[in-house]
Amino acid sequence: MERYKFEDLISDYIENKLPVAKRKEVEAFMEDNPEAKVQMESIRSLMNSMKNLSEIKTSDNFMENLMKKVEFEKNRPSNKKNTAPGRVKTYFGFTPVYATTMSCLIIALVIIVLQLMPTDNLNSIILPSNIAEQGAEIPKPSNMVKPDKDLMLAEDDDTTNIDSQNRLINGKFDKNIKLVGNK
Amino acid sequence: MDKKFIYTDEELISRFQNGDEQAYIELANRYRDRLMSFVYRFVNDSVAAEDIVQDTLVKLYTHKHYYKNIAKFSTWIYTIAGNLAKTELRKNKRRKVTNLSEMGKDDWQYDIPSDEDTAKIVHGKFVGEQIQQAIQSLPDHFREVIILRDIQELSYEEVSSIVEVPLGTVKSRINRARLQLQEMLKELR
Repeated sequence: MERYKFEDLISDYIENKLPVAKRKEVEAFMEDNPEAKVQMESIRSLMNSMKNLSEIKTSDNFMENLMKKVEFEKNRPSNKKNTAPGRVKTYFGFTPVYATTMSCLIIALVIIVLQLMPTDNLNSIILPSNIAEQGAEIPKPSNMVKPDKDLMLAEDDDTTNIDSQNRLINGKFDKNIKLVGNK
Repeated sequence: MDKKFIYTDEELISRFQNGDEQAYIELANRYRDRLMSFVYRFVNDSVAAEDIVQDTLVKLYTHKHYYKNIAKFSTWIYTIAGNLAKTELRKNKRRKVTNLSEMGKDDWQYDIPSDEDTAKIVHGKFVGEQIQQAIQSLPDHFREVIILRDIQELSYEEVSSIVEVPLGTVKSRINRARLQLQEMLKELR
């Protein structure tokens, strides 16, 4: 048996928790190694000494001080929920009844708001089916906000802009422009 | 014999959970000294230890519904005390005011021996002090288990439940703690 294995078994040996075969192995090791036997006895003695250590007692006014602390804790609002005998589970601080009522009220409010909302805005996104039939009236450029001159320079020099020839005249498309549906 | 002494700890906590305040006082009286011994050996300061024991028993009062009857009451209360003691030790380490010589002066005051018997008692106290100092120099996880097992005399299973560590690890820690203590105290014998 190795020394470290013997040390691993010391507590089990002292507390009679080793099977007979292992116990005999430990005893044989101690026979061969007297210092191992000394170590075993030393630990046994230490364990007895620890058992016999004097008990440490609380002070005489321990209970008095304890009850003062308990009274203080009892009166703390944060602890009242813990001391209440019939504790009820809460959801965001509401009891289940109030939580359900609040949820129903919120849902009802949302439905009412949706009912009251104007529906005109929804129609405005429908485009005319035929631009030519409606005259294709485009607002005059004069009515439009003029962009900054400097910013327009780059656009004026753009030779790739094929739409520049088809500019608007008096708010209407040039004659050369043929809209879909014009024969 | 007073009738209340026939109740087990579990019966008492159950009565307390149902509103019997007298059961709380009985539990506090049963555990105050046991917890004091455990916590004092752990934090090595009698004033701090008494505060921790009081805090433990206050927690018992304010959190009585947290106890479920699946575990032993003693295991539950020792776990609370152990956790509070560990928190105190952590605070002390942060404050760096750990002073091993300041260990419960009231408990270790020596009287001048008047005869041989008294000298024996003083020697016993001296041995106790040496053991206490040696225990303090153990790592926290060794110290806790050795106190619970060898001083409080709890079973390995109870120690395992209190420190929330597997049984095998607890056994190994206790064995290693004993070896370390024996090494530290071998001049004493």
